[in-house]
Amino acid sequence: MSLAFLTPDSTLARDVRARSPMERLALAAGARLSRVEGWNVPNAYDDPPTERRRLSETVGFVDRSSLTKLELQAAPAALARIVAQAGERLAAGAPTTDQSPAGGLALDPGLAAYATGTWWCPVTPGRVLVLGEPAAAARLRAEIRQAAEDAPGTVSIVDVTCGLTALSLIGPHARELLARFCAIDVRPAVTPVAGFRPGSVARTPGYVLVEAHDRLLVLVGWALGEYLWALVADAAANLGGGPVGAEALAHHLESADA
Amino acid sequence: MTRLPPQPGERLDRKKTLSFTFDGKPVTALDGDTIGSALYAAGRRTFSRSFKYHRRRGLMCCAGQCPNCMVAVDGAPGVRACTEPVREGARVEHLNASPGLELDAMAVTDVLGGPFTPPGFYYKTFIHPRRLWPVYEWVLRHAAGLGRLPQGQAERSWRTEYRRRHADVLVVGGGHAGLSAALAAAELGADVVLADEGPEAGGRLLWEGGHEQARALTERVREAGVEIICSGAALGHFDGLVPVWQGSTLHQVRASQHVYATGAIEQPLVFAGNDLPGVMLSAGARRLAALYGVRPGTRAVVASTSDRGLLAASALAELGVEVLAVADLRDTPTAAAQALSARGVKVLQGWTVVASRGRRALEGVVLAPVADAQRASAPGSIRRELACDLLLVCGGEAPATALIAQAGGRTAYDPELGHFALSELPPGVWAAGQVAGEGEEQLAAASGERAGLQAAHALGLGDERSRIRSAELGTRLGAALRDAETPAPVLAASAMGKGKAFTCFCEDVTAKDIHRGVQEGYDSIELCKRFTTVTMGPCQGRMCQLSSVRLMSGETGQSLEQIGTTTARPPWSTVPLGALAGRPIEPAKRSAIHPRHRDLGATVKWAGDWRRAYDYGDPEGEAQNVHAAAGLIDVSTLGKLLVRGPQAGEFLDRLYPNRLSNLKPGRVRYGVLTSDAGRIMDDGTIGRIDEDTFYVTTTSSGAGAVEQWFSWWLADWKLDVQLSDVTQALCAVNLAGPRAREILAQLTDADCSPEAFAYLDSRQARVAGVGALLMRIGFVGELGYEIHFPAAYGEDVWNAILLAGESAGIRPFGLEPQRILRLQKQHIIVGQDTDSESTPFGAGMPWAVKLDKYEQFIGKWALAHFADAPAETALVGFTVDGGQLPTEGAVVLDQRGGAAGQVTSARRSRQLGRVIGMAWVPSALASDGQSITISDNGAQLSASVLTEPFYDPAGELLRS
Repeated sequence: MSLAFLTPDSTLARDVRARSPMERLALAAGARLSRVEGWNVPNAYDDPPTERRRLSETVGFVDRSSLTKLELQAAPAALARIVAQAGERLAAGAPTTDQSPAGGLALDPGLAAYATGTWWCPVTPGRVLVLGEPAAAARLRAEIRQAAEDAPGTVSIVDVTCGLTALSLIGPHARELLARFCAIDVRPAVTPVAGFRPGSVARTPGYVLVEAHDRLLVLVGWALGEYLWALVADAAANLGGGPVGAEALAHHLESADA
Repeated sequence: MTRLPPQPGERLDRKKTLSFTFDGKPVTALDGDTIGSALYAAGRRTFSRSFKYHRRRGLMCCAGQCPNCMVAVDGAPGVRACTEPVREGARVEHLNASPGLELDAMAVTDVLGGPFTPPGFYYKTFIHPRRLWPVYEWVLRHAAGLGRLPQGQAERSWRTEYRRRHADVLVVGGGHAGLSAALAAAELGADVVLADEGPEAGGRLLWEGGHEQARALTERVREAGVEIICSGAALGHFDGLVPVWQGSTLHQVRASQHVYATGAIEQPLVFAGNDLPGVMLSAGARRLAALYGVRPGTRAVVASTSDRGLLAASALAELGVEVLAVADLRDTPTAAAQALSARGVKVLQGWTVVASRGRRALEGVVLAPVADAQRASAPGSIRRELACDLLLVCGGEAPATALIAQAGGRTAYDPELGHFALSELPPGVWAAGQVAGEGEEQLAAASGERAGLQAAHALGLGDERSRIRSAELGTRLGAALRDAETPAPVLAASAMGKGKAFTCFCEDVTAKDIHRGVQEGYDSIELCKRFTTVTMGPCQGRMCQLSSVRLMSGETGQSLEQIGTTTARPPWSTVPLGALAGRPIEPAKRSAIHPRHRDLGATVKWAGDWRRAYDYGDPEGEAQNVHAAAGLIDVSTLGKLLVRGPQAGEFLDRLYPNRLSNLKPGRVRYGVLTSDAGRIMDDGTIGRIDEDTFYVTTTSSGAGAVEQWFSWWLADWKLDVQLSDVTQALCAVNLAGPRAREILAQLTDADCSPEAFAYLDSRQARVAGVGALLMRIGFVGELGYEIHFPAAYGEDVWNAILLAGESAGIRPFGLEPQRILRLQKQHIIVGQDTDSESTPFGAGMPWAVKLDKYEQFIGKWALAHFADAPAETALVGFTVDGGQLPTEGAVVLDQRGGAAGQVTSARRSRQLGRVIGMAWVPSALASDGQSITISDNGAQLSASVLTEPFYDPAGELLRS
């Protein structure tokens, strides 16, 4: 029997929505929601120029709880092989515009590997947290399952999408914002891009991933979503920042790519 | 006119004025003024009243070191006026004086006190008669303290921010040495933070004529990438973590290397009336003049033990202040003394100050030769009395070693220098400038640069050239120190016996108090500190550490080395308690359904680290509705673990005292988790999802501990098992009641018939379209289904179930009704009905232990022992005969009236029409129908024991 009861389903009827634990606070902050892959996603809060300014001049935070999150556990050697193979399989089917490295992913302590829109984050030698966009969730699961088929020992693939809530902190003050609630050292010299740090985040167990020089992804337990939002919104406001929706995020990422 | 013409390095913008009020009266300030400088410029000399004797106190250090100018600003007490910048419209008020600063009724203690109020007098005086202590306490508490906090929480709250900052090097102190250290380290590539207490870096250079050099150096440091935190006081050194309090932000700086360039603190002299407004430290007067353009006085006398006081006299003379005389403790004139004499200033070599004159402020001073200084006004002694309004004192300088001491550094008394100097530095800590004895103008930069290089080198930065440079600087500093001038030894105190000569300005401790303390037997500095409270005030020993040690030495005949210093403890600088509390946002866990509970008006309370719906306004009615129709409760807080692998069954068999490897897929079993001592740790259900996968639930509060317990044993046993904590990933609700089945049937494609979905079955099916795990179990005693599904669908599934059950009369129920319902079934709550000594046998659950299991399991040995030796007490149900509700925790009495057990749970059950509960009772009483007596807050309640569930004892409803 599968563990389907853990997995959000993007094919559900329209009246059933997957909701972030921060949704109520996002709505209170003026969020305008739209349905994306079965999730209620905040598109925007303020006018686009305001949100873009936050991202380029101070700091914005984006609710990314809908990211697909898979916990992959196996013996260290088997795990490394699964990650490498799954990475290759995903890269093989990736669009040609994707400039990510083609497979052959290797896991180093403290460093996440990125390929074809997916982050492979080593938590321990025997445990990897895989982060991907919701649109690619089904394929991601399938490829990992395939790669794990011949692995020796027990391989556990558990969907923890709803186990971890996520916020991206974006902008020139992203690190400063993190420093207001987290003691993990994310100075570029210590935690470069792709740096992944399990540790105490906002006084709770969590993770920090440096997605880009101005972009940090913070993950804590789902039940702490409202708490995390309250904490981050409070600190961000003091730095001149605020919440940012998916539209401004997309624009920011396009600009960064350009 | 108190304001001087524009000074070259002043911080003022003279074109812009600001207004604020002091005790309700308007005061005009220049932009850049501190409250202290503006008030002084406006003619105010008394800034506060002292702690014990309510003596007038005025500006003394002008650097936030002493307690003399503490005021309340906009309701916040304990602010030092001399460093607090003026803000437009600020409301400044005096502290510790009533009815006013000029006329303070409590000043009577200065007249009557002293001989009658020595240290500790209130311990001795107010102990008799004991019954009056509350009255004494009320009076003393109202008389003591510095300022009053606003009554309203809103007025007491202000935003404080925490900021974590990692760095390669933290430099504390932004004087010449600190700036040089920061620059040297940064230029070698280190990430450097510099914290300085002052509003701008530069230290002494700023008021001793080197302001341009200081500001240029600061700019270079900033350009080198150093983060400069100004007005930032380092509070302590905690294993490498240095909190720096700046305005409203607490920077928690964690650096690999620390350079302390904390300088030295100018010491006052101890003489009669040394606290009178108009007596200032020499550097204080220079700061006031150079940075704020304020003339500190018109006719000045200077008493000094080193050239620093003499240089201050020169500086004042340059500003047009009439310097009447300089009493230099040293016998031989130095070049600075000769320069003063050349200007026509009278320099008295081998003289010092013995008393001040004046009531409201300084009107004159008495000088005497050192030889006569301690003889008071004995016949034949030489005295010279001068009328003046300013006395500058300089009693030498004490290196500010407190932070280094907290880091593990050591100090030793240096008789040549006359103070405690650093003797040992811990790894990763460097000292530069005055604190290292390398503070003279030509040395500070070299000292700082060397410390910065050393810190960078310790990080692996730098090259051969930088190492050579560091060595050269070391050589240069060594040679310079050999040639350095030795200051004069300082008198412990002058003119003992006449007037109050303060050693501690914060706590009003006089030289005589130290004398009395020693006479009473408090003859070590640590004991004396506790008895007299010397060094325990807001200045943290800055002004009094050295002088009190000198006084102790004089009293005991011991050397200063033998006396030693008091322990340097944080905080080194004054900090509001609010700064340490952080942002008032608690890490609360909330179920994904929580917003709906709020919508439904739930009473929300803490349950462990969760916020939970306690009830929806009618707990008894909600419980009743579960019996009558159906209820829905959010149980998402339950711990949820996935145990996977071919040895998962064996793993669980080793952990639980019952057998789980034989559980069939699709079935659920209750399990009580015991420690290796056989005591109950937790309980929950274990469901088998497939051959290799088990789904374990735990109590809400035990989830973390169970996960750790499992992980710990898994690491030890090295079984082929993987463990995942999915507690927060899944919502869980319990749909219970006689109509639960028909409600669920509307929402799921699963066959809910009793035959297809029996008690203790589990199924995966869609509920309201969402993939879910269903378990037919129940905690509340009615037909029930626990539904587990992805947390993201919490609100929608909850809504769908309530909607589907509307016509059947469903109602949500909270934690309190659940507790009533489970008590009716005598289902235990681990931690409430059990404690760390409880065993499954005592708790009436021998069926949960399978000692005949072939496998070894945790606690087997202990449980086998308990099985053979019946428990002394047992957990039973009871009903109260008279219907009174006993308090949880009430005592169960034995036949002789002694305590023999306790009530763990008690509720009024509307369904049963009586008060029910559970209690630990002597085993002899643990049988049906036994009568027990409960002692509850003085009342004795009679109750009857029932060992079977109160409601549906056969479990027919549960299995229906």
